[in-house]
Amino acid sequence: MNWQLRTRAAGLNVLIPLVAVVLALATVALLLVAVGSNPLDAYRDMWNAALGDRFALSTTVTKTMPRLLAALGIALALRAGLWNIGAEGQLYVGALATTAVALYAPDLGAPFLITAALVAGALAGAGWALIPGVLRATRGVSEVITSLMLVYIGIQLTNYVLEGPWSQPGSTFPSSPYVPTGASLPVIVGGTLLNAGALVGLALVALAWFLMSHSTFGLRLNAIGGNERAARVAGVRVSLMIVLAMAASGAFAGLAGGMEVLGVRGRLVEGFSPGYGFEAIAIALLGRLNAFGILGAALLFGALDAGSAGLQTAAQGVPASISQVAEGLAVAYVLVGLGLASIIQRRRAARAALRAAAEQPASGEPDVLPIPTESVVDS
Amino acid sequence: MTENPPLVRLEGVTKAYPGVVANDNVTLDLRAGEIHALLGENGAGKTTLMGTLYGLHRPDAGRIVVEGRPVSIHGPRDALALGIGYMQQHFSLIPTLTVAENVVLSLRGAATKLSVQGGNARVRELAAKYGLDVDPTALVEQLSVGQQQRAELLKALARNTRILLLDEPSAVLTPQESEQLGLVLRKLAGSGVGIFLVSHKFSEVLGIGDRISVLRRGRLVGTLDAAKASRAALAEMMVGELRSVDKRPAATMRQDAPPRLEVSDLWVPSERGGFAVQGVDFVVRAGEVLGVAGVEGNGQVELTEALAGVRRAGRGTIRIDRQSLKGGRPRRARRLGVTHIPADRHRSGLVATMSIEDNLVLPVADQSPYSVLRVLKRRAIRKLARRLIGEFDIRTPTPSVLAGALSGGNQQKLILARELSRLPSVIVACYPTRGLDFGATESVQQAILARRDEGAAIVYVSVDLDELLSLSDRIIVLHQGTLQGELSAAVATPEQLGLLMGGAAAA
Amino acid sequence: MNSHFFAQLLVATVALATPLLLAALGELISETAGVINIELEGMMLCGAFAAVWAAHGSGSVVVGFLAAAAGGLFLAAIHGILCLFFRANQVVSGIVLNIFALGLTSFLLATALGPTTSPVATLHSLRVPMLADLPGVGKAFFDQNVVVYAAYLMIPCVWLLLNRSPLGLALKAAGERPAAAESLGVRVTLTRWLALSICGVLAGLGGGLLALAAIGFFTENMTAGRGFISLAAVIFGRWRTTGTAAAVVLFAAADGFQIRLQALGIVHIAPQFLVMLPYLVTLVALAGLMRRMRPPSALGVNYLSS
Repeated sequence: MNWQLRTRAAGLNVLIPLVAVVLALATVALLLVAVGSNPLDAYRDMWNAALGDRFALSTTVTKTMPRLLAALGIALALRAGLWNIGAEGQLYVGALATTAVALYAPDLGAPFLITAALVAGALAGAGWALIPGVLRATRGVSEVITSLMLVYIGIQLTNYVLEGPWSQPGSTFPSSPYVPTGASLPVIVGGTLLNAGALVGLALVALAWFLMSHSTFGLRLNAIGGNERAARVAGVRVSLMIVLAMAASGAFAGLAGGMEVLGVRGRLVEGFSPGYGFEAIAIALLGRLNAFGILGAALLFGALDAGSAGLQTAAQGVPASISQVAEGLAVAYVLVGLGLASIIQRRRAARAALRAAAEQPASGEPDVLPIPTESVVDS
Repeated sequence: MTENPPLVRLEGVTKAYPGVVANDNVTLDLRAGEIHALLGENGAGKTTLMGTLYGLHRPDAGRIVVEGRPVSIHGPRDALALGIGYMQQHFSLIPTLTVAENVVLSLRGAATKLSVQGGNARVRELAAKYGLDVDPTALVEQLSVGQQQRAELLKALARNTRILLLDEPSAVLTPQESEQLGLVLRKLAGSGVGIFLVSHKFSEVLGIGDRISVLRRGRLVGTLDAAKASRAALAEMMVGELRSVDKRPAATMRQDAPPRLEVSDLWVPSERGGFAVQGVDFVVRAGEVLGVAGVEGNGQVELTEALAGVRRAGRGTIRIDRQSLKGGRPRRARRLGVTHIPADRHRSGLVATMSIEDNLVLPVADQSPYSVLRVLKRRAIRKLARRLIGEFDIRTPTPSVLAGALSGGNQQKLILARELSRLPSVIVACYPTRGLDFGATESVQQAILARRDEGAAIVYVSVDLDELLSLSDRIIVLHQGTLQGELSAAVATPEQLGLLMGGAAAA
Repeated sequence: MNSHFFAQLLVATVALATPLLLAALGELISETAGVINIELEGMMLCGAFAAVWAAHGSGSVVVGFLAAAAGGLFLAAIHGILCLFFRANQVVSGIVLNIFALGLTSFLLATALGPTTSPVATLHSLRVPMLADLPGVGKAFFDQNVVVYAAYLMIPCVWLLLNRSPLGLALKAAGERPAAAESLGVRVTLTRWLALSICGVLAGLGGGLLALAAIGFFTENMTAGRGFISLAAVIFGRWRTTGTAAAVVLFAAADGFQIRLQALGIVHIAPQFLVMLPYLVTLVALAGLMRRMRPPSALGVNYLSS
């Protein structure tokens, strides 16, 4: 599996993303100075809007949720070396299915309707991800392009439904009718935006963590991601695992979409996702494919989103898009950091091999090669 | 050939890698217009020597003299500038381009540049001159292997190569194509080109070569005129004396022990098209070790992969304990009790980015006590790992070390531990002691023999004749995918085996 | 729907197709050498923004287009540094750069350019004297701006580059078998840098055309997915020049058709299905014809020259 995705030394796993984030914020500060704004003011406003009070925190958490879930799904697939670029599409399709169930299923009241709607969303997302999964498992077609194509197909499909059968005459933008209250995720902390979806999110973090590190499923995915051929020789059912991994990944993304509908807006709105599914890829990387790291990275992105929305309203003249600049830079710096780590490790290993050859010309190999045993980077 | 001053002279070339001396003080020369064959088993150092001449690696000692002048070859570009061309076993052709386009590409930046149109003409010209029948406008990927090789040759010729290095060129050719190649090489030599031809086939070196040099374990054993050489002499030079070998205690294997592995008329397809294994039959009984000898690349890997269910057989049957195994399904083979120690540890044997204990538990992860309802029980896995690490003497500080960080010997022991810890019915081991030091080799052999004593049937592929002679009960020899002979290990000699490995009929 | 409708459709198609064509041809060159640019969208966006910014500052459309090329090249350079030097995964880099480009252009629009800026000068159309009078096709093909004419010429130029020049051979070799290419004397990394840079320039120009052809404004996210359509065109066109150009025309026509239908108020064909057409046909092609859809073997695979 690509060394970029997992580094073993826990230290570097936290250090590189942390340094990258700090550098990104510093770069953004420079940018703000260049356009004549005061970065300190801007950051202070962002902080307030994201973390300043209970309400702000709830905004942050709310904006974290869809990114978190999608990223968990992407990380799961990535352990097997599968790139689920199509999370954005699965998100939309999941939202579509959730809304459909919420609107048309018999209103059996809160727990049942919500569960049914969310399950429908997860299944729809899983189904949408199955297409690239099956194509990859049976025909070896790259899941990158197929899932990417399905993103825009999914978005247009959703738009069709919103502008057609579900269109609301007189509304300013295409959206579905509101879902019944029985399908809304209840707010759990009064006076804030924090809805029950946050609990679901936490539960899913635990589930993802468990799946990735403590289940036979995760072990096999790791094996496939590490060396597909060796996994097959060792008896792993590679094709089946690929399909299952993509489906699971899609389920997470579909759930994310459904929760946005039921928890945040109460209806399906055209273009409701500002690119959660794509940001999730960056978040998965930032979080080093670790469930808790992803939680942290998703919170960061959520905070940036909430904070920059606050910037807009603070009429500082600093637009909300600054958060995307920061996000892009943060991941770019992580990529640089990983690249540097790899270059350094390769140089070290080469030097060590030369030393070993010079010191012991014809005796046996050392038992463990002179590279850090907890390897800094995977192959 | 007449007494021309040598075109190229390698003097005292030595090249060592950690653990092995690939070339040990080798002195050879090549005359203009001569075809000089290099004979030897794998690991004898022939390819390393060619690589040194082509600049792929620098020698630790010795020098290279081209037409009387000592030269320093830092890389392929230097070699090309000196007129040295190298046809390696892996072609450096771009499959989606035509033959002419490949030639034009290789001439980019050289003195004689060509346009794409000019390329077609030049290729035709060269093809006619040397009798190489290749269509310059054909896409490389659509050519047969023999034709691709001719395209490689044309590439070298277009650069006015004067010293041509060929590494096992007929390994991938049919007998007819080999003959044609021989004619072309003769013509080339006739026009003054000096050719080094690496081979392990007697027929080839005796048929085409003017002189033959035999390498063994990095040393030059001797150089003969082809006219004065005989197969027997060459075989003896190639494999050496029978060293005093401690025959392992043979299990008391009864003649009526049940057959555990029955292979009948097995044909296994090769990646390059055609068949890597052609019509092989044998039977291995419980408690018996069948050694498989042969120079690398004659179908051993494909055979073992088919037996392990990793590769689909084309024709024929494989039966384990009387049950048939046909399709490429490793899981079925495992269920039937086949364990596989693959030829290439890194590619097929273990997952380098996973820990030792994860690698060990992978095939049995869903069985108790290692998991319950899909939940891994880390303690049980740790216990398994510790037990196997101890039992198979895997040297590692902890079981959580990544498998990729282990030395080669320990990696092999890891694979053994994973495979042999169950009770196998058939063990298919392909080069299990390759690259291991003495201690690791001992451990590996002991472990496999222990299972033999418990009644497993063993197929043991190796290039080391001493090893095969000491471990096996019977030995078969594979050459170009066909069974050349079946000998009892007790009476076989290295010379006999050497002859069979080179393709001579059984003595 | 009469001949007038189709004539208008043709005009719309050519106008819609040109930015796509430029980006797609650039991506084709890049992918031939083995570098995939998911951030094609971002390159176009940077090009569009740079074009408006520069045209606003200088008052000249020419400067605007030069800036557009630079804008696309800017993003391509970052992609190159991340992937060709730091060996980052090309897909990840692409996605991240899209996010970055969107954020940066939106940010600079709000701060440096400002929404109150008046529109910049746009391109005039250049009538080709007699050809523009041809019935039906004349206006569509021969009464366009100079960049469109340049784009026409691009098609044979790119074809010649890829299929008849030694550089084209080197590009193909780098994208197919980098190791073998290197041993043939091709400097793979350098070749990929070259291909990537050309892609950046062309994609930037495509974005610049979007802004400067008629509108004269830059709006947030004005490329609206065109980069992805161009990506799909290269795939659907089977990594061939003629195929890519044909795919672009097809996709632009579908888009034009959908727009015209909406304008005329015809509703029985849902526009969204026409909008999703490029992606749908590409997916179907990938799913069904995999054997004939062969991307360059080393596409997206970073090469380490040891």
